[in-house]
Amino acid sequence: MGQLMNIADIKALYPDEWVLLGNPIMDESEIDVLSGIPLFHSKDKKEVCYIGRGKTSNFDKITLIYTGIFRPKRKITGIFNRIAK
Amino acid sequence: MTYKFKREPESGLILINIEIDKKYELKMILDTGATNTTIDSNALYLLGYDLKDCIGTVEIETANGIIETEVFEINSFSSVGIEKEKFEIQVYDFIAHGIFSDYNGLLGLDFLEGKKFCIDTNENTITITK
Repeated sequence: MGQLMNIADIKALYPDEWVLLGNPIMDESEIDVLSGIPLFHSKDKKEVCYIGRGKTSNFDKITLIYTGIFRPKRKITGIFNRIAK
Repeated sequence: MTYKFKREPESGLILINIEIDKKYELKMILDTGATNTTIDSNALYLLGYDLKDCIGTVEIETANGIIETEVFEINSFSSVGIEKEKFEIQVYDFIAHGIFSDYNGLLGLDFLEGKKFCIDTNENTITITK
């Protein structure tokens, strides 16, 4: 099992990467991570999801974070509405 | 009960934490303009679900037009004090369709169905009263 790290160290070690974390400790909003045990990391989210899946069994809680900032180049509007038949 | 949420700095979207199968905590967008809850297929695979678990397909309207997508039944899906068992969600490959963001899906109106709720964008809270 890896070592518990705080979010500042995780971001410094894996900048602009997707990081799979075991037993994360969340802030009061339960949205942002304060610390966790890094299980797998990559620039590629798909790689983290597919390879990381096999590394989660020994943990009670799992979360997935991105350590960088996405800057959207377009506005997001309502999508994904199901079409009634 | 009142729950805090955060806003995505660039877009102002409402970010909310959801928990799946009492183990996986993921960041999603609260989208009351979406009829159904949608999850990124890559995240769904991480949760342990496979294509064989698909229970059907539906057509959905996206920014790129109408597409057919798979529907999965999630054993336990919870957020803002609401827990739904056997919750049906539709699945979409965000990466393949050029959606690059740090959230993993959209929490749609179907999750809040039957609830009375109030979203306060001044205080960044959602209050569920029923």
